[in-house]
Amino acid sequence: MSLVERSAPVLTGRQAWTLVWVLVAALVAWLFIVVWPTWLDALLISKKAFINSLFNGVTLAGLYFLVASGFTLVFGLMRNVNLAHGSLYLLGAYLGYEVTEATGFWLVGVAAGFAALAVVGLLMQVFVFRRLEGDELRQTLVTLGIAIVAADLMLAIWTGVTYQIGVPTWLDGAIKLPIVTAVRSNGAAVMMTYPLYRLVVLGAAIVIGVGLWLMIGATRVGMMIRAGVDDRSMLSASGINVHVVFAIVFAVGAGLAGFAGVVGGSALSLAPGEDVRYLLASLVVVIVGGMGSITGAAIGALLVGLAEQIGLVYLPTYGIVLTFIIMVVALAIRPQGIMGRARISAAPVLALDRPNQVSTVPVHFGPAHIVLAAALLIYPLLASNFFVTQIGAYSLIWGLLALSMMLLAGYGGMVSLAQITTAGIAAYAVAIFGTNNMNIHGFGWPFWVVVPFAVLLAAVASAIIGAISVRTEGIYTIMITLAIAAAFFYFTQQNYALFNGHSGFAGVAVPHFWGVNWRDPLPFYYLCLLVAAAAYAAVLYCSRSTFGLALQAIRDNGRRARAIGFDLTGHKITAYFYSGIIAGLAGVLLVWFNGRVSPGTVDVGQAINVLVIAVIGGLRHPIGPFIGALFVVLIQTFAIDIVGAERYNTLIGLLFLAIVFVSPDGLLGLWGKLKPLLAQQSVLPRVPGEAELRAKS
Amino acid sequence: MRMHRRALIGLGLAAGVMIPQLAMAEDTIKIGVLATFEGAFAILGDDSMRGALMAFDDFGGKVGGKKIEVVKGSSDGSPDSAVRAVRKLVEQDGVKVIVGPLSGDEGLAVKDYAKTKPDVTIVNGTSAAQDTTLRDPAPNFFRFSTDGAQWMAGLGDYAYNTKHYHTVATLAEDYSFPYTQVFGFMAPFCKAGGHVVKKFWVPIGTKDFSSVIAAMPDNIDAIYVVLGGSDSVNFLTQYKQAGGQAPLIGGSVTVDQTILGSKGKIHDVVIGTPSAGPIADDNDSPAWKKFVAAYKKLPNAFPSPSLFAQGYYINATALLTGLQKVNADVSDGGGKLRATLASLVLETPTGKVSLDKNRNAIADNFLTEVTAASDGTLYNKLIKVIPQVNQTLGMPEAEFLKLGSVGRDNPSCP
Repeated sequence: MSLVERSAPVLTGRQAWTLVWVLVAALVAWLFIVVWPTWLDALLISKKAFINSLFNGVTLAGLYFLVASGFTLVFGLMRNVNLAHGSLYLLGAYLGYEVTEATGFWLVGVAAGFAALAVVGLLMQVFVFRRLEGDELRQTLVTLGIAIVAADLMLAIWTGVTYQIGVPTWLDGAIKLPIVTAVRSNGAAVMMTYPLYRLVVLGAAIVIGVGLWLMIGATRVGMMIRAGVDDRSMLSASGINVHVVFAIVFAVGAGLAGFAGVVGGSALSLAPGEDVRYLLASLVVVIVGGMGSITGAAIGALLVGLAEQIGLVYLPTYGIVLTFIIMVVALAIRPQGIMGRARISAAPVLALDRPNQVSTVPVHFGPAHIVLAAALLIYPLLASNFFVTQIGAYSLIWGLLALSMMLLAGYGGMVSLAQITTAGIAAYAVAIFGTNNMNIHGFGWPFWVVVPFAVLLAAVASAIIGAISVRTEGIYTIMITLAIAAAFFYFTQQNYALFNGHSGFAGVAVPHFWGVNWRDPLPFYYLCLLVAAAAYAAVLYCSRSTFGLALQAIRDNGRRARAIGFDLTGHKITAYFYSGIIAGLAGVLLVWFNGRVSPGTVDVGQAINVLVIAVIGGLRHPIGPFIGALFVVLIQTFAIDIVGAERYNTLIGLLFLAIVFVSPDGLLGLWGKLKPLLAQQSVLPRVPGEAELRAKS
Repeated sequence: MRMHRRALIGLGLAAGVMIPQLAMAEDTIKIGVLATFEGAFAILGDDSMRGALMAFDDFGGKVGGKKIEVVKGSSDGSPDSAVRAVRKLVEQDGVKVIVGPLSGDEGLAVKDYAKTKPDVTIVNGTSAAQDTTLRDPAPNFFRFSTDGAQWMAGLGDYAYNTKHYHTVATLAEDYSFPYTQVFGFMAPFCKAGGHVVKKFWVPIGTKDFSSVIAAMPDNIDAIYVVLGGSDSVNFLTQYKQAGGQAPLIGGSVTVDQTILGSKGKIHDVVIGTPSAGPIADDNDSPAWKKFVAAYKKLPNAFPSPSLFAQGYYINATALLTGLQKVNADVSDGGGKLRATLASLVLETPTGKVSLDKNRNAIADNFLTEVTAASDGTLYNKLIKVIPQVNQTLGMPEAEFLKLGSVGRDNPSCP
């Protein structure tokens, strides 16, 4: 597009754009009207295929818009990244199915989907989010916990069976469109037929879109919402009861998700996993379109829907990655999204708990460290091989992963869900450049070349991810990095040339040197312990270094830090680089541990697992991630003996929710709260520590 | 909600306290059952467990005079989690014999693990990747069920010679299991003179196929479809909506009971679709009827056993038969058991099963066609039994191996 501007300097930018759009419209119209010459058929498969994929893209966009409009509405007003939005979609769809089956009326099912979810949304707002007001990160974490639990409970109720909601006969069937797709040899024109219901979905999306637009533009509630989007505290100060506005908006947003669920479940189908699918679609749509903007959601949905359908036909292998590429490009050009307004970041959106407290735990290597070190060193002598590797080493590896997140989130206020991606890049590098048994790549480089190379690659990748995501403010990071993690997963799954697709790499060799097989239980445990201890010490050191203090200053008050003269972006990207080193090391250990790496190693579930571990353990002190990892690994391993494997995710999700609610600093914080109670008998004069301050506040 | 002793020991150990392994009672034998008990595939894992339990029941819960203690290992369908589960079974629970896993990539991963534990004996569940046994097999991994290519036996030939479909397009999910099925269909189909003019590989989890349907070439006789679960239901619905003309040919899971049982919309479009696999719903052999009758008594059972119930049943039965012959004694590191298993010949509800030199099953395969019963329900009607299909589909091994590993572009006959 910029080429046009340069080659036609007599036009203003605006005129050039108009010209471009007119040309594009003319081209599309021409493609629709004429009977295609053979060369065009050869190029684009067939007119039928091309026109159909355009129609499908636009109608799919209608569905995506229905889902994403609720998401963007809620986000725009409350800065609440509702990671349970996909769960609301799926729940609405299941309820709509039940009601449709019970009453026999599809429209009743649609209405029920909207109404039921509006109530659910209202309850969520009143009982959950209102309590966490002003703490966007905790709100987002709560939505994540709800999503985990909801997915598992829906699986328990509706099982893994595929459901389709029956569309009434007057909406079913296909209609003829006045578009000639081909001409038979006898001269008869073949007209295009198209499923009526898909056009109905598009119609519904347009009606809802216009309705929302009018509501926001022309009603009193809409005025309040607009005011709230711009300045929440001002709105509150001018005497409006923001809680009512919030509740209405959340109910409408959730209701729209439920409505979209029934509509989408009738067009396609319902099964576990659809929640994540529509969550990701919503994320990409609003990131591309601009967060909080209804028009933006429409544009974003159109881009994503078209990319998906056209990609499926003309670029089947990478079609699914295409939508994420659009996202990254959009972010690179317009970080706030196409219709998003650049926002002057108000309060530090993402600081954990109380942002203005000094939040580093004093660092000194006290007796606790010595006891801990001794315990970890003699642990293998006491435990079985299973406990040494499958619990001990495995916890250390996940602890490292969570530590790499803690470094970003705890000190930098940037919650990155792409840590597993960084680790995965190192793991794949080890498999590709080292030795594997798949007869694909496996260049057989010695480990002392591969490991530093893999870790460096991971660190650079992490810095790039950082560079993409730090262009936007605080809470957006979590959305963008989640989308990046999903994009990497899909890419590894589809790409055979480099990543060997769905199968990935197995038989990844672990180094043998000094006469030791480093994958044997004892050596591997000590190897993991050594790496973990080094990373732990490095993070501790970093937190007190000039760099670490600057990072924390930026987290606590970015504007002031900038005024003092800190380079915000530079510091943040550097933090991503350091964090990438730790994640990369974890990735190397992980691929040695599993002996394999495949897309399943780096999927969205694993990405979220890292966050769950970090939050359960606590983000304030580098020991937290390791505590969290041990805790989660133990539950993961023994859940099958305690509650049965089926409801493992409910257990983890509820624990996660409990931690987020009760103790924002995780298990570590819980200890911090208990310690002063236990130590009350102490006669020594003590300076009140930070933990006590927090316990009191 | 009962807390098991094992878990308590586990939690105790985690705290760094060593509790000596409680001596196992002499008269029990632990059998691990590894399947997907969590995540979206849990419903399949549950059905496979039904199959395994039926086998244990056949033996009265005892083998070689020892009581069977079932230890479940759970994966979420990913190879990483399968290996973690099997490690727990072996290294923590002290299991020496295992039935499982359920899916292809899990099978490959578990085979690799089996090589590191030569004294553990693993008998497959339903994992059906070719290379689990064909290339670089593990001496202690046995598969009494057939692989994804064997499941297609008879279909390519039937499509070409009986149905007279000479030009076909394929639509399949883009990963190893469909590659194997496409291979199993195409090898005989191409040999007979058929052409596969276009292959559509769609990412797993594709729900909206309408654009792919529109892009199907007009001059084809049929579409060969390998999609599973909700992907298949979606495709079939949309194919009907789009007024799809070309008849369909199905992979082993494209038109199985879980798909045919889904409500309403796909009825017309699937009737007459030929398919093939290790089971046929209306197989009238007495052994199969007895199996189905026993299966239907189980809680929450499907209307008819899935190939997961059948696969786990056969593999568990094989393991128990082997154990019976060695008096459930695996104290020698399982050597005797493995020698017995390797030469085992079983009569099963789906016919005779024996093993080849790679310990992969030679067994009957069933060619079926979707048919409506008098009450309107759909089932896979048995057309033909293809007897004793081996892993190389009747070709000499060297020639078969020369065809190369399955993939997007192999085989090819445009």
